[in-house]
Amino acid sequence: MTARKIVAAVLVALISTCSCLGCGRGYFVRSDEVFAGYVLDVKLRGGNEEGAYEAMKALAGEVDASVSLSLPSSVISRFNAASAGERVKADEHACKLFGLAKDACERTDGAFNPCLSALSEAWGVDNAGITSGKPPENFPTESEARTLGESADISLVSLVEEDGETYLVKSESAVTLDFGGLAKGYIADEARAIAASYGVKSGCVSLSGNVLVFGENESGGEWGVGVVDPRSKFDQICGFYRGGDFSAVTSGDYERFYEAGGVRFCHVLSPFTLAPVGVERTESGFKQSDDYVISATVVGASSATCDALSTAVAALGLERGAGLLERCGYDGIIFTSSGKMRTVGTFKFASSRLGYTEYERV
Amino acid sequence: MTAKERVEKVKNSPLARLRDVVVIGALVAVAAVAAVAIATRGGRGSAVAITVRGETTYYSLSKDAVVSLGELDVTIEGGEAFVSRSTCPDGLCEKSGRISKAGERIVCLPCEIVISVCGESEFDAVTGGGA
Repeated sequence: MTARKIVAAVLVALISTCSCLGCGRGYFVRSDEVFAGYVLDVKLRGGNEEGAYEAMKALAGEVDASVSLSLPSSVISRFNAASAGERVKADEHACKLFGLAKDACERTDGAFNPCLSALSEAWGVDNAGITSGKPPENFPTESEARTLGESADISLVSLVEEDGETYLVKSESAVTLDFGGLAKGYIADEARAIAASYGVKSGCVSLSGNVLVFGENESGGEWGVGVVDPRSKFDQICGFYRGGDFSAVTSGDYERFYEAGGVRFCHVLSPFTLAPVGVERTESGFKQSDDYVISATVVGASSATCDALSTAVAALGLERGAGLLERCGYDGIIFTSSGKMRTVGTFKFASSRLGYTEYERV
Repeated sequence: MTAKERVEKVKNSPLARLRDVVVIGALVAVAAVAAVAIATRGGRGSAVAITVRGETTYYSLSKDAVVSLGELDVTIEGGEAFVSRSTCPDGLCEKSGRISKAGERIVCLPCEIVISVCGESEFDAVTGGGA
């Protein structure tokens, strides 16, 4: 009996180990809305997956509470409402994002501008404006836009340290900040650090299409991230990128926009024209530009940098945008409204025989 | 009674046989749980591949859509894909139900159409969007 018991015990142990290994190969998968319409999708494997996920959710909430323009109590909302010289206490996230925004602005020669919050509001392409689904009563005139553009300068903002606290201070009352073009990327990068500290070996973190992957995917290979055709009706995927550790972020006019007089006003503003990307002034009103970037996906190591660069590429246009990516050492795929497509780096393409849009590779 | 005889007696007692049954039952139960765990391991897919006579097109599962392929319609709804209309005589593809996990597929032999959920090998996530 004793011998039989031992054999049985060994068998049970073996079988449970095998079944545990089987479970271990699967991913811890969760999806949850973390703040105003943003969904955090995670696939994690290894270490304390649940702990890491809870920490990521908490982080996303903290960042939103710090930089959201919809919350009057956020650091950035209070900064935007403050007058020149007034000190606004900044938390860790606002400080880090300020540093990242300043770097990105310099690196892109101002194509990424984190000070366009007031201009977004004027065009009605801020969150509140887009949510209302209606254009503003009066569009900003050229001179009004220029005035707002003059104070859209991050060098008018500084971080001041005093008694162990950090404050954001502006030298001109009209300066406003908007970290919307960086925050999701920042959250993804921080989520990667959280994963590492919880011993998570592999994972995929997606914050409403802002994707970051590390380690290996479920089949033990490289991760694949699909890029959605910006003019497809049903989110048809036209290209994909494969790799081990990278982030992929897309900016464009395909979401968060309103239409007025047949012209699409999207949430991405050009710091050069001081108007939404793809919108041009005419004598009688506005028209859609003939050829502008409708979707720019940027792939690289830092998700915050991808986030900022994708916005910069949308503002710069295809040629200059592709040039910027090459200079920065980031990969990308850019689509324009006239059906042109440019890739930087190696993307794979799905067949487009059934597709709705044929892009010309340029 | 020697020690050996005592062991033999215990071995052949009804109680020992019952224990054997319990041990075997436990083993079967553990194996069953393991099998279920392995079978349901596939994660939620992020895209669906539709292959029509050898030509493959990919669609994100995160946006609801009705893709019309002539012979049949594929509906994507709430992260699941299914055949919502079919003109083939047996209509088996329509009866295949909804697929959402990586590796699951619907095959329509008369129309030469295969609908399968990617995720493990092709796409793990998607970025960008259409409008």
